[in-house]
Amino acid sequence: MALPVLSLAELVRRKAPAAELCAYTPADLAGLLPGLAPGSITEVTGSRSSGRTALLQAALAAATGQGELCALVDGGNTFSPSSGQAAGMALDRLLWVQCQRHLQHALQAADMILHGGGGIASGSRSRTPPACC
Amino acid sequence: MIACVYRHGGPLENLPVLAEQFAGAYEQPDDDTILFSVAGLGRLFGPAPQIAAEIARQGQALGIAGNIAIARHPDTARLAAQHRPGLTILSPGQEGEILGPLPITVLPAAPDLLETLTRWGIETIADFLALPPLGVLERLGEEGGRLQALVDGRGDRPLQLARPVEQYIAVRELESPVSNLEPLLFVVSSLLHDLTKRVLATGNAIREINLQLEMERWEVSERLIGFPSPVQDPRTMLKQLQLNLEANRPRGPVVGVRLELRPTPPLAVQQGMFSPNAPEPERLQTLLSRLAALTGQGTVGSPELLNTYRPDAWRLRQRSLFAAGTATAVAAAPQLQLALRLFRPALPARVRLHQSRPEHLQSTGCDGPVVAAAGPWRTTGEWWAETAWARDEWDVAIQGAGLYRIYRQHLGDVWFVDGVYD
Repeated sequence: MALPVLSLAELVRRKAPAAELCAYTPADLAGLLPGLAPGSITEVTGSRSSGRTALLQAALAAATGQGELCALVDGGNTFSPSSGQAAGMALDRLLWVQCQRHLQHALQAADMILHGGGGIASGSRSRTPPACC
Repeated sequence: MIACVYRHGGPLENLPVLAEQFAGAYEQPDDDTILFSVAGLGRLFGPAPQIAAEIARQGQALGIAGNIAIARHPDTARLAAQHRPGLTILSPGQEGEILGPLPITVLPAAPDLLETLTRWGIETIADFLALPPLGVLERLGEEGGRLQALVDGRGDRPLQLARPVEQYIAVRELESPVSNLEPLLFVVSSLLHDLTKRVLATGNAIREINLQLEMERWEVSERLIGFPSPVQDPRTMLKQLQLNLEANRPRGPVVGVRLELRPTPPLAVQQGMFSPNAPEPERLQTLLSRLAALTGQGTVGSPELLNTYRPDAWRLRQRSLFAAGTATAVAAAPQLQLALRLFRPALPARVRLHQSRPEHLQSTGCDGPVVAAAGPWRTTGEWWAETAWARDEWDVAIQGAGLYRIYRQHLGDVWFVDGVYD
């Protein structure tokens, strides 16, 4: 089933009830994007240096700061732990999967985390979706 | 009655062997001293002097040179064996008389207490025993009373028996060589369940599995699987073994299996009432193993920054993932900060300078004039090791291509693109 692609403007217009969202968006964007929808896939796209990774790290910082166990499937092997820590991430609550630029492995790893492997998200009843970058 | 052997020569490992010839269990307070009960041996060897002589004879046969003492109280026997040469029999009621000539400094007591006794003019154990017990108790407390009872042979305490380390090993020779994993796992599963039952009966969990597969021509394939969090579920362990065997299949038909489980006390994790639920350790362990089997060993874990200024210095740990999560801060919306995505390895670059500042950057994926630059930030370190580095870092904005971190490596005067800010 094809998933609908919604623009940020569309997401803002729809504005789902706040109770269903995780308040894991940066304060700077809270007015525009009130939160990430749990149990769904949120894709952040943009050009280089547009702040995609910053948004992701801010969400992970908020989630790990609350004691959640989060997973980061690093498809491009580009995550910088020192940058993550500077963003406020609790690194000891982060499961970092390095896929060595192997896209197939990245997709399989994300699938394992979400479904096959017991699932950090489902097993922990966590409201934080595992993140991929 | 308790016998004590104090060794001052001969093989160390023979001391427990000597004790086991006379008693089923023993206490070994240090490497050179061993205590064991000789109660009931009178029927076999006769009175205490003959028991001591028999111990001496067996000790001589084992090459042990030392002193032997037999007393009612283990600590009295130990004191006599350590400070009186040869054989010493401390018959009940005669302890003080026999130990009396020994200097007071041989008592197993705190230095300040011995100093106090010396100041009182107490030089020998006999002097100490001559003191009124009530007065000693009033002035030196319970410790003083304990010492006086010890040298007088009064009181009692059970031996703190040394338990031999139990090993959980199962070995099975196969009737015919096995090439497929499925029948091999069937055999391993059977051994694993039996051994796990034995470990669980002691209240322990398993921290490590050692699997040795014997192949034809005596070739052995060994696998060591460690668990960051101790495991008690045999299914979880079997899954780990299966993933390991699938990733590294035996090179030939297997004719024998040896499985060893290494136990450890189970990990007790107290979950907080308001902290998020953590995944079950067994399921998380299985997930980590499956991910590692997919992406390779050493690619899955929690990053831990190393205590160094070296760029991109970290290591992966798995243990912290099993700890209960705690909120580290009051829930507040995070602030947006520029994030750095590293290129591993760094991309070689050509940089044109103008007045010692980058003017133009050319590398894979980015080529253009520098519209803004900040730097340089010079970092050097670990010149004594192979991990030495020396470089000047710049943050540069390339027109229409993004914001990059570049650096000039002093060695060879070459430029690299370290990463992109995103």
